[in-house]
Amino acid sequence: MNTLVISSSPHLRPRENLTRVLYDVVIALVPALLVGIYFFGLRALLVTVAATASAVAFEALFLKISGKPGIGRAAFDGSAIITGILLAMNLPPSSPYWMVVIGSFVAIVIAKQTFGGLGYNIFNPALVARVFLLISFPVQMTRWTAPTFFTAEAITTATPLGLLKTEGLQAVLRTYSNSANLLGAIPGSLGEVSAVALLIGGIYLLVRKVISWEIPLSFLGALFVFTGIFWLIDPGKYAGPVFHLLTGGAVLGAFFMATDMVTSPLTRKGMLIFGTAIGLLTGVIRLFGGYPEGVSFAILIMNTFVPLIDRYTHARIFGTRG
Amino acid sequence: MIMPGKLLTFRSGGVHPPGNKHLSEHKPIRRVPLPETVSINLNQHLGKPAQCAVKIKQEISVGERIGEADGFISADIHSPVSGTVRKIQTVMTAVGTMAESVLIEVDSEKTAEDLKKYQSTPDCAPEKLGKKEILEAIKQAGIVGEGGAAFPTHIKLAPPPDKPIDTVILNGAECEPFLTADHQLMLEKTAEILTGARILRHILEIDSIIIGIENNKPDAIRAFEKLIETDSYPGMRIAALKTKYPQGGEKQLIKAILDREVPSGKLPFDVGVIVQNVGTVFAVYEAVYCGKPLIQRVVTISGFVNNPGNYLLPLGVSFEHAIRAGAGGFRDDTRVKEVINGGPMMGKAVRQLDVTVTKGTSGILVLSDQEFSYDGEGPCIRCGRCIDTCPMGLMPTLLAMNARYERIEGLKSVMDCIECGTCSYVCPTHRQLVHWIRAGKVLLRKANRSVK
Repeated sequence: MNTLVISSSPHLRPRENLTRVLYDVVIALVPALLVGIYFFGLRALLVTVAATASAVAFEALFLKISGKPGIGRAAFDGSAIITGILLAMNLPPSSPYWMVVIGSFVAIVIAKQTFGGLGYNIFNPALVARVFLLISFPVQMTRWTAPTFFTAEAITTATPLGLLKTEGLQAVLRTYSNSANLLGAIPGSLGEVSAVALLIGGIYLLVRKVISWEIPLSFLGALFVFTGIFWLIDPGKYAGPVFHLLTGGAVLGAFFMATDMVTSPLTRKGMLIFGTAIGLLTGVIRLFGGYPEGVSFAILIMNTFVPLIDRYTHARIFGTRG
Repeated sequence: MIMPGKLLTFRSGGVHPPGNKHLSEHKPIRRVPLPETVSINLNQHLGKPAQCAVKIKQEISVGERIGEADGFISADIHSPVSGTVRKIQTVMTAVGTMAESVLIEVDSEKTAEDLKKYQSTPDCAPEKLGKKEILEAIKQAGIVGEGGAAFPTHIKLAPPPDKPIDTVILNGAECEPFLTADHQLMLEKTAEILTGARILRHILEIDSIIIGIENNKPDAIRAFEKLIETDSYPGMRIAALKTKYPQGGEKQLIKAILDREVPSGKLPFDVGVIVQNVGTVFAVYEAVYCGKPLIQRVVTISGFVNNPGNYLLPLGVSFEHAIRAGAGGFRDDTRVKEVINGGPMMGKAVRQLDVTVTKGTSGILVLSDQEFSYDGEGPCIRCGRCIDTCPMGLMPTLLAMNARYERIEGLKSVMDCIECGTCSYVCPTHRQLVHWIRAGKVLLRKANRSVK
């Protein structure tokens, strides 16, 4: 007879484990990634590989230097891989590799590990890196290429939102159709262009209950309503709400960035507030800000409000009024 | 009939852990050969331990009182065997505390002979019996809640006059995985339980008795319905419940069946309800009709044993004897990892196998190295699953964190936790949330004491 183990209840093997949850996210990213590679060529794949490999490497290196146990497990729990892939998906396909690696460093070491590692970071690591790169390397970060389909040379061009900001609505409507925006045959970050592919991944996450509907729906809904109101006021000047949903990082942000568990509110009510605020902020930045796109900023701004939202959206305790 | 669309349930939270009930389901209740000695603890109930009423070397027979209730919330304890008192000693209990215990050397033949006195009973309607006499009989029988908390039943059945009771709920939900003791008892003692329910209806002067059963026990639901249709049991009905953990939690059960919410910090009788486990009601029947004290109970022995099943165990039998002589022993002694008093969600791991069966032991569960897993805690990734599934509407991860860092101001709601274990079960990083919340309760109690 062995010595009996004394563990605290419950004694059933837990239903889930972290790695499975995180690899579900990786699986959900695959369709959008494949579309990105299809439209932007091998370069898109290499940028993704560079971002992911360097993210995992920085994670392992940091854990080793800081003397944390279980380096192998922590580095491959899926979280660094997700950060790497998400970073790549938020970068222009033509990003230089050195810039990608700097981005991974910022995401993993500065935005995640210095805050205490997985679970303790306040800001979405991939977005911190993206914004860091956007401010530090504005030229490389705004050099967009038209989809090449593995054939033609990469042609530098403007994204639909960029064009809207600089040339106005009529130029955009002449250049891009809603169906191109939906499928993703438009210039943009390598993982954000195809709304359809992102939706497929998003639905997978919803079905697997990795994310819930509150954040994506309130985010996209608020963006739709906000841009819709301005479109109704002056359809000659403002782009329609469908255009705003299908372009830029709206769908990627709604399903994959804003839903990051660590940096979003704990309760359903809090998620609705969080998502709605991101949608509105995105609209404000797109319509009135200096940048053509505002998803990253909107999410990072709202990340700071998460503790406050959590405080005021406590679940209703059984047997109490509120 | 059981209408799947009409199943009752509590609404917020809850989980569906694998039931594992097939191991012991429908196994007839069996007796276990008596051991050479039994060790009967004197603190088998909530409240003050009973005072020892026997001396060393005293000859004792079945049903004799060996512990006397001490104070208002306490209960008598009786001998399940005939034999000789050998020791009065301090032992470890199945819940890990220390208790005074009476060790009796068992005389098997005399025990079997003496047990016969409880068998024949004159039949008479419970309504003809005096209420005071019934309550006294329940008190004399040392009956306590068999569902878990082991609260003395004679106190529960005499609620204060300012708390009018209109409904009694018999708890036959048995939502803990693995456990089937209540299920089997409901199948074998259907009429006795209903008669027990009639006794409760009579002494509490109420109209409504509702038996709550999860719909994974359709045969038990049918058995009760068949008898209720005969009109011998007025005012009774069955509530078929959705199979969902923790459906059998007292507050969840009341919510599911009556849509009443027991206010935070209050008890069921504050909403006019008394909840009794079906086993307890059977004990009430035996006390009133057979004059039999609570000296044995049905216990599910399951998991990594050769003959999982439902066993009628005398109080004071060691877990080791129950497993070896009753359930056919461990499947492989070298692979046993953990032995649990109760079910896997809320039960407590025992430290040693010589701990004994008490009035509150509903199950003995053996986990092997296959089922047992502990790979350490990960960080909270704030996924919110513990919050979504908490049946009490708490935020377990925050409570656990506040307990860990001793932030008393963040522990205000900690006492609302029923420790059902749902949060820890769904946590993807396997955090020991219930463990820390329990620690939080201790912290809060200590802080409140120092304020006073």
